[in-house]
Amino acid sequence: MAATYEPIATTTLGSATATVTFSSIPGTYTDLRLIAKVKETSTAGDSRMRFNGDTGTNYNGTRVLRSYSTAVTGTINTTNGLWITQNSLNSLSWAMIEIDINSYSSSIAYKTIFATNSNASYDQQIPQVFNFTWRNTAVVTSLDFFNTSTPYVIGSTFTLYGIKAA
Amino acid sequence: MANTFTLIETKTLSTSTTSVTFSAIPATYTDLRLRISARTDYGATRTGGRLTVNADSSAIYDSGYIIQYDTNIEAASGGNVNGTYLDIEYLNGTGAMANSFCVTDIYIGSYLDTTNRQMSMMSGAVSNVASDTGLFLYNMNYRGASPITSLTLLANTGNWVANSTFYLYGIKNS
Repeated sequence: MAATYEPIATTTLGSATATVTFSSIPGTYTDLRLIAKVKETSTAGDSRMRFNGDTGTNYNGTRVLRSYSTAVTGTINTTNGLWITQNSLNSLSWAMIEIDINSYSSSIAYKTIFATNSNASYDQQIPQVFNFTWRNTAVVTSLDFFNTSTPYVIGSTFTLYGIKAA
Repeated sequence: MANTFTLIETKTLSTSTTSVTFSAIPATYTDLRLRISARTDYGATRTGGRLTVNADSSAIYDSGYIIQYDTNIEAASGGNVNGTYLDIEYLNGTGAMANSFCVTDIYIGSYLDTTNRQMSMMSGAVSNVASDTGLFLYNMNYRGASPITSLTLLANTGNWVANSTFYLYGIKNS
């Protein structure tokens, strides 16, 4: 059977790091999937993902989440990357982020992204789901992950998988 | 390069069953993914289930959820801390439309860790009656001190019915 779900690269942080980058992503898969286990050094800012270094106003989407006992829904239009969390991740416990990037190797379609963030602990429970578009037809060759004001802590891990349709 | 998304075990029920357990889960993966297609024999339209890790009934399960159900437009949300199991909702009961099995997808990150294990769950029950539908997004955390070696699934009330299926996958990051 052909291998259809393969790790492309994995990074475990040895020091607090502001930006984690996957570069030279091969264009040989159909979709990408990112799994991250992360913590941040403070409760400031929000985590974002940037495509091909694009800091323009090319990211928009919708969100549904629970933030401090309140359900929040709405649309988002952002510059400098799409949100993968609203507010910082809880600095007391690890959070898990799952991101699916569809048809990343297409040079015809805008890129659609589905992201969930699981960050449950005994002091807060914040499920979040985001649906985004990066309005660009370029093949995705690099991804940056960063928080707008605080770095990721030692031990945070980021793994990028490639998924083949055939 | 090795394929890293591997089926560990499948359970397809031939008769009604109270409890489904995956035991002796190998410690050779990075993450786990559990896919469920199931319904129960509880006499309601919508019902729920329970996930227990390592047969541990200690009050160390935390979860939060957002939900869309029936004809409500806005999402509702809630949380549960220091629970003794993790909820699985929604599941179809006997009042749900015939031949309809709910779908549940649970991703368990870093299951070999010995601190908190974060999980995400999407689960939905769909009916042909607008007031009988529901979609859940859960995030969950198990604070046990041991790697995950077993997962047990119970219906809240009653049994899992025949033809319910449970698939456990292992995912490696190298």
